[in-house]
Amino acid sequence: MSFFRSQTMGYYKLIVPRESAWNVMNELAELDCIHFVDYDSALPLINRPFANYIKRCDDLLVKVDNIENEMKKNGKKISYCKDVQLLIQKFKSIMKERTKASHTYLDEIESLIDNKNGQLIEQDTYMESLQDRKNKLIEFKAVLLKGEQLLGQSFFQPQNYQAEGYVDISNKDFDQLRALQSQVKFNYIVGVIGKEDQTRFKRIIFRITKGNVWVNILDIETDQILDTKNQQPVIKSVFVIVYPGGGGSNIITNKLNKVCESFTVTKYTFPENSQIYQQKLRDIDGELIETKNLITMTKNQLDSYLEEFARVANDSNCSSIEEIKLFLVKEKYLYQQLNYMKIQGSVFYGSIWLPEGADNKVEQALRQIQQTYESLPTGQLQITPPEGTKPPPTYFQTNDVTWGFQEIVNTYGLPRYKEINPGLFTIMTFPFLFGVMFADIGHGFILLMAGLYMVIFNQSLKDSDSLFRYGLQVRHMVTLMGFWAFYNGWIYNDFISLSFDTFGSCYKLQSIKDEFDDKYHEEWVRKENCIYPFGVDPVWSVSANELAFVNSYKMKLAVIIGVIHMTFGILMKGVNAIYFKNWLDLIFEFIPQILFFVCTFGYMDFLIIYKWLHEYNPSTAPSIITLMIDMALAPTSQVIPPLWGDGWSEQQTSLTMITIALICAPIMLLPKPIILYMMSKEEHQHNPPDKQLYEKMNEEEDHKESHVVAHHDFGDIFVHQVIETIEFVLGSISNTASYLRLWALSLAHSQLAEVFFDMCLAGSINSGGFQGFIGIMFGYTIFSMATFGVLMMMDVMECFLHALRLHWVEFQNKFFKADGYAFEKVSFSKVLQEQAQPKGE
Amino acid sequence: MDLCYFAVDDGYAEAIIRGLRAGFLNEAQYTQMKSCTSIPELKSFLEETDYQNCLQADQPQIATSLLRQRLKKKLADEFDYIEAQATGTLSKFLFHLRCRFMIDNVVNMIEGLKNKIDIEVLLSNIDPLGWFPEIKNIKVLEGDDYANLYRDVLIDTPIGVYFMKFLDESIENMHENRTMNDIQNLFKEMKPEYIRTSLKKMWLEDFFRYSEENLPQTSKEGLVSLLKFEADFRTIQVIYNSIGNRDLNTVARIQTTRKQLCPTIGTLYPDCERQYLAAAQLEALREAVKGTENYRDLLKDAPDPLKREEFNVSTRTLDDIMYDEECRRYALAFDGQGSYAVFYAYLKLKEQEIRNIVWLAEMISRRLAKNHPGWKKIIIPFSHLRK
Repeated sequence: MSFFRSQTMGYYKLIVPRESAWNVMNELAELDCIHFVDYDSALPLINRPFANYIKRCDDLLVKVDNIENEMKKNGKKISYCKDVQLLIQKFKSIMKERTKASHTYLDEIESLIDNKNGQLIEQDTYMESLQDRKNKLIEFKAVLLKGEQLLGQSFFQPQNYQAEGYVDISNKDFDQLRALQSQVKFNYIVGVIGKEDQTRFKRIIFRITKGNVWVNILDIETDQILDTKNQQPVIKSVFVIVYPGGGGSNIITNKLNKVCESFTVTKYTFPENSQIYQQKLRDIDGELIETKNLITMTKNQLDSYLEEFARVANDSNCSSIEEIKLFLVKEKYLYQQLNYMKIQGSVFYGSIWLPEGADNKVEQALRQIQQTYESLPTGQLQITPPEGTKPPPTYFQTNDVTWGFQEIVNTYGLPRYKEINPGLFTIMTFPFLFGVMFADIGHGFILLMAGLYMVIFNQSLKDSDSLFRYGLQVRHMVTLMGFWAFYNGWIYNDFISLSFDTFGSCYKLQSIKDEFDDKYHEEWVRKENCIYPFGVDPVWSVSANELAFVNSYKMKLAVIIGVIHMTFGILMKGVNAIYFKNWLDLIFEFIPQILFFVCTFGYMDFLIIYKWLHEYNPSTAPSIITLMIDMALAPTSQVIPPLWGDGWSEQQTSLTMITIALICAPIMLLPKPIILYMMSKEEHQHNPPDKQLYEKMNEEEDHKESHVVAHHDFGDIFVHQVIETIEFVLGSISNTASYLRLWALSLAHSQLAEVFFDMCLAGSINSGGFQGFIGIMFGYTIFSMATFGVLMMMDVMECFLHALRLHWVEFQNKFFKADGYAFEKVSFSKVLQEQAQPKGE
Repeated sequence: MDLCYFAVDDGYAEAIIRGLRAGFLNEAQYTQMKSCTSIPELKSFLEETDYQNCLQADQPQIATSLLRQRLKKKLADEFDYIEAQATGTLSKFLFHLRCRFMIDNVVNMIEGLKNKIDIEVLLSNIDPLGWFPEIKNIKVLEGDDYANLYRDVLIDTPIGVYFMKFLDESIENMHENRTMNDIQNLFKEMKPEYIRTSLKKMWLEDFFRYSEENLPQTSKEGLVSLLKFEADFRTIQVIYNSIGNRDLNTVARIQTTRKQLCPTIGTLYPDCERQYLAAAQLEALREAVKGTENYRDLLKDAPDPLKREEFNVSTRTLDDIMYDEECRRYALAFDGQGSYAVFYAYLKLKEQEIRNIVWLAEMISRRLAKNHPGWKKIIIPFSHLRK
């Protein structure tokens, strides 16, 4: 029974010689049954023996990522690994074929990746330089075109051309300028600047030259200038600065040059006359075509280069880059596990936890290594007493059905080692409690069908892109929840707010003569000796006091279920106490608790059921609430009206019950802390100081754990017990009340269903005819959407959460310690599975 | 009252800061760092901490200056992120914080250009926190005076205001019959360190006023007390460093310079101003500040500045003492709720952490013995809260 209590663990020492560490770990990680204990969790990674291997793997993974990004950028399809086992097998066969030591395969991969990545970077830089050249050409062309536009045709007119590099700005519209033409010489700077720097550039030039220059900027309207790094279009602008001045270097030229430099603009020389201008333009066009060709060529080259990585191998069904990546992940994981071992000389010592029966498997695997690699010494397994104070890890083997329920429990807290696992009961109680709240034949059926659909078509849904694939993990839970909702729907006889008359109602309409006015009117009369066989009689759904009846019925049912559920929880505490041989808890906690609970709330349940089984005159029927109040407030007086007998015998029973309950409270409170205190005192007296010293050392080793175990003084123990007792006594009241949510949610559900039905459909169905037809058409749309959205989605979630709460708080607090820690098995398939998915999904 | 709606605008930014608190190195990590024997080892240690990503791409034998640059880049990235999340007052506030780094950058640039250091080197050493686009253009004015620099480049920048004030004040302080040449000479001879101190003083005063006037009540309280201390710290530093300074030989000169450099805010101003301006010895300074908070205790252990030549690495200088005290205050401020002081404290503490790491890296690269007193000269953020 490995699910009721966690699996038995054994503590072993694994001794591995250094030279075969890789092989041993490689073999053991495939067994999926070892939990490594870190010998010193405070030790930083760099001080561990395999830190540099892990670092290498990390570096390589970064490079592989780089290649993958490059592939994505170039539109290569990467097929991700679907079957991890296949891949592990492939790695194995690669290892077998190799003649060198297996762990050196990493070196090969490393040189391969380094090489390829280097080439890739080289190609990338080449591509960037090409792109840069192309950008320059486009810019130059734009400079030429825009420059002509800005400076005007007259720029090239020979009479204005004065000397190399000097330009006479001759605006025909200005007579004065024309007059000055012959005297004033102008210099110019032409170049390209990023659009975002434009204003700053203009401003700073204005300031430096006190406004004595003429700057004009025009955007280049092309999206062909691409950023060399991310291939996004950049907007650049052509600028032309014209300023007065002679030749050579003067202050303004110097300053302007410096400004240009600080803005990192590209300057171009503008051709002096129109022939050169035309010539230049043609040259650029030619060069541009050439560069473009080069770029396409390089791109193709890169493409075929990357194709190699995207190729899917037959024996693993994934791209070779993925294969490499997963190999690195595996290798890194392996070294991480090896790092948990302590090195002494040339031998690794590892402490491991093994589930019962796994030691044979491990030993066999170790022998296997001996056979396969004859030259290698193999490892050894030794059983040793556990070191330190940490208890063994908790390990449950789950399957598709139990996984979800165990997960519900684990979210609250992992069971302590060997503690009763609430997950087992959760499988049954969780869907049931959900069903009580979601009770509806129709809605339950839909949920059941959805669950069954996922169960039956599990395989085909897994690979489809249906929305159901997200629910596949919990398909069994959904099915069970649907089933219990469906079943409880029958109990409540509720089909989307209507009742089924399956077995024929036990009531019939009868005309009865009124005594006062002699008129006949119809009334429901119960048939003789008729009992409705299953669920609630449908007649209630048409009666005026439907709500009063159903509420009282559901409320009582909720309390009964709750008390049974909690009693069961308390019983589990007893079972745990017996298992751990904790007699103190058994006698002074479990027994008074169960007595207290049964005598108060168990007795209440008994009263409820007793009342159900007997008929009372409606006017003098006893009320359970009054009975319970009187039980506490007036335990000595006669019970009127009594449930049974003359009232005195009932009073006797009540008195006995309340007395037992009251006696139980101090028993819960006092003996345990007193005995604990005595025991610890005795221990102190009898123990030789050696043990204390040992304990002290332990405390230093991992003080967190031993603080719990360490001796407390009486005050601490007592306060703790007071809290526990108060929690239990008050909790039994509030927790019972908390189970009323079973009723409340079921009520909310049925009322919502009724509202939707009445508002959307009932009217149209009643009116009939064409009008009704149209009404139903519209009404049904709204009805179905409301049913789906509000009931099938929101209400399912709500009921789920409330069922969760009932388990976590009301049920589990009765016995569940939940302070275990998980058994982390060393497993390649687990870690590869996690990494096999593409990022961001 | 402002606590009620603090979280409306600034809750998210504060939450990020609280999250970033986990990134601070703890004492155990410092101990491990101290035990590193080489720079590659230190680097691989840092890669296991919060600084992982910013160092990964570099060579193992990373230069200290590059290390500092990387760490600062990370801080700047975090700060950018927070700034991107901030709105309204907070974003203005955060911008004010940046100005301090901008001043540093500008002064560094000026200094570098004066010493003819290559512009590329200078640009790569810019503190990313105080980057602004105009910084590149400072080079234009190589060889010019500061007035031109201000007029042409810095006028648009956020720190232009401080620069203008600085220029005005410098000119005012000159003798009556000044000529254009005098002014130019003054600026040419001015020490960058002097500019830095003056600019920072102005920034501090401005920031103080801003905090006092524009911030919500809780933030104001927190910041005003922090800034007051910082102003006092600055004042004491100026006085302390000017004691026995040979450049300032006349009494009148020492007083004007001090007056110019000491902030006009803080707990010491104006009550003790006359006394501290006149202090010519450490003892006089101690006497001047004794009335305020625990300054006297702080100054008690400070070594005498007149024996400056005797200082060595193991001396616990005034700066060390003051940084320690600052760190304590920032750590306390960081734990305050609903206040902008948290952002300020975070920045300061992170700076301290970077200083620590760089210091340790320096110690490691010099291969100093492990019992060298320099190893103890780091101030661990948040370590004061434990005491």
